Amino acid sequence: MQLRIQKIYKQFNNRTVLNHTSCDFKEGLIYSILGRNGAGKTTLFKCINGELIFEEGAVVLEENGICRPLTFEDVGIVSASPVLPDFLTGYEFVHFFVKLDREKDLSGSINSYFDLMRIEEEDRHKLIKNYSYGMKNKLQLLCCLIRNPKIILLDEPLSSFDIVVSHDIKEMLLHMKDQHIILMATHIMQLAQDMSDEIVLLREGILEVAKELDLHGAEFEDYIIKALKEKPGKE
Amino acid sequence: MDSSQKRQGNNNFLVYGEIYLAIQVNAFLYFMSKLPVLGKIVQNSWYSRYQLKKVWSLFSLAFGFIKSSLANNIGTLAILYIVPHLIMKDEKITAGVYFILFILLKCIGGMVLDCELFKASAEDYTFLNHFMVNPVSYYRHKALKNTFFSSVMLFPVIYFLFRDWKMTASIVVFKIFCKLFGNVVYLSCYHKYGHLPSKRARRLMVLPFILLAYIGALLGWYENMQIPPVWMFVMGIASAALALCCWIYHLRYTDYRRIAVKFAGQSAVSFQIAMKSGSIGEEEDGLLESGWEQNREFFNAHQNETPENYLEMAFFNRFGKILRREKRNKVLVQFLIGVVLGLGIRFGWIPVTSETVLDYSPLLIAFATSMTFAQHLMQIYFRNIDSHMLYHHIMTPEFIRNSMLKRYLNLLRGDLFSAAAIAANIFLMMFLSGLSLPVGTVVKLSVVCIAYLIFWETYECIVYYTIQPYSVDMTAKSPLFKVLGCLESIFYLLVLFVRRDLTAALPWVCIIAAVSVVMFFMSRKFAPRLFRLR
Repeated sequence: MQLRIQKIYKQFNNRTVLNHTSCDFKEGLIYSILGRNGAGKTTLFKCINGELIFEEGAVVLEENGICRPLTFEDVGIVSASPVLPDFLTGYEFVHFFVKLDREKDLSGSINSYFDLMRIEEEDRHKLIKNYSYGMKNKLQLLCCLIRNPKIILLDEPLSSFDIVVSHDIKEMLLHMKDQHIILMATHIMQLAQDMSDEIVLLREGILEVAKELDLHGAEFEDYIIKALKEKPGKE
Repeated sequence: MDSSQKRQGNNNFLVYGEIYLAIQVNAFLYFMSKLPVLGKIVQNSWYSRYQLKKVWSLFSLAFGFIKSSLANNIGTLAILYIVPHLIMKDEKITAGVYFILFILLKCIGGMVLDCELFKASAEDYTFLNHFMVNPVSYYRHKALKNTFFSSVMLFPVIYFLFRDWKMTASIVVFKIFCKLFGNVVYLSCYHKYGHLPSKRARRLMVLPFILLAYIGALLGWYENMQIPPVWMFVMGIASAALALCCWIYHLRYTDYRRIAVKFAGQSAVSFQIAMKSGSIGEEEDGLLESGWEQNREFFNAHQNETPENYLEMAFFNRFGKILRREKRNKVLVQFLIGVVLGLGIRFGWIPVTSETVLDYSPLLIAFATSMTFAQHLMQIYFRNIDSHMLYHHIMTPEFIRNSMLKRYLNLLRGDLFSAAAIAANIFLMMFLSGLSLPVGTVVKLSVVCIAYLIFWETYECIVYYTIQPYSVDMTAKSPLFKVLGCLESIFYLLVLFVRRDLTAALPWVCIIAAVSVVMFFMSRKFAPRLFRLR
């Protein structure tokens, strides 16, 4: 399975954000999309997710040699700012979320989902309105995992999780990557190093895979900073 | 759609209802917990009493059902029964008149004027964003729900008018067809052109139907119309078949995602969330989006203003177009109604004379009410400014007080135009009607309406700043605010039936308006303590 971005072009008010760029993302790998603020990472995710209509190009999923457009169920996005209903308890929210997604196996109880995210019993029955930012993010990620889409887009993931949960989430994502395509937009170098199989740079609307880059080398951070300062194709 | 998806679609219908009711019950508990004395009774553990909440939500469901059914039926009654009885002689109002009015106004007019599928609602945000429901599934649910509430729920009022079960059933089925057909037209239009006809164009298209309906009724075109039962039966069957075809179109339409992205997002400018009544102008972006140079110039020109002043100026600079358009539309509609009524009286279609006209003067309250703007404006303020400012603790008490005064004065300034329009409309109506009323009486009527307008605008400002009725994501409103809304609706309804000389209320309305203004200034003292995020 591959996610294929084909010459996608997107502009806002005469400003080009994605410039006829192409890139392929393979199943079983975690990609970190690195770019400066305003580079277009969120725009890219929204184009993949179908929230934004791009002017040219295509985003397709290739399975068994056949390309097809993405469907709603193919893509799950976890945004940087959690979007959750204030006036439901966490338990109610997950309960209804699972109920609406009835294709999924319901044998895992709601509580097991909360255990996975290390959300305490008392917090499960509080209004989401009273959740901390980190807890809201956990809930959001949990919903994405319940949906189990083929393509998972993570916009600034783990930025508000505590150390223990961050570690657990990382392990979970590494465990599940085999059957998914995971794209992660992040500014945290350590996260990119720990989790990614490939680094993709987004500069001036162009996606470029940073080939032959030693993710765990000493010069990784310097390389990325230098690369993001330069125009595409110059490193 | 495979069978598993069909089952999913059917079950989702019930789950949507459960979710909506859960939110309402929780919101009620939450707002109750914030009240001074009652708040101490509400325990945090109540939120986890899910079975009990389910029972409670049944009451909420029944209440919501009755409320929306009542509102819908009363609205229809007003258009089809009350207005004709006001403007025509009773013996001329027959089943034929009701039938034509229903077809032209509720069926065709409603179909042309708006499509609720494209209107953003709090539920859109909840289900599409929070629960990430597939838009295809959600919009089918939305179409069914809207069709049910706008058609089947009208059964009581239609039976009241026609007193015949079979005829009522046929008319309801025809309404269902019209509703679904309207959706089809709008969906096709959007699919083909990528946008909808403008609001103004739609209002202009509906105008001939309104005129045809009431003028035709006044001229007696419909009173002798006979509707044979067999024709009603055929109409019912044909409507059912056509409605089915329209529903198939809904099932085959797959571009709901685009509609969700464009219309359901919270960034759309909206005057009212759909729980009360229709929103205005979401599909037309009234927000002025200037380039960065214009924004910089604006800032440079006004940077020395106080923060409250600057925000107000920026707000009216960027939202001014949609606000002015809305005011203009209100005035135009009022003038149109005034012209029709005036001419109707002059030519004897409306049985009002110089001796009896003052008995109907309380209806002028409806004119004044339709010109009020404060509630809409406060909602836009909340969505675009206040919720964010409160969230980031930017609003100091001084800021709130100054902003409150600034907004109130801006509102009253804008209301000068509305007041002038009300007075001009009353004079125009009297002039066209040819009724001989002393000028002093007409002036008194105008003053009553203007005083009422001032009172109502002031009242809405006080309510906004002392109750602050909206949740951050505007999916829930304070129960107190909802109660006040119900009382307002009852008041509007009762006014329609009052037959007294409105000028007798002049001193009282003026006193109430003056007291409300005083109360506004008093409320500025403690508003900062009450005006916060819920």
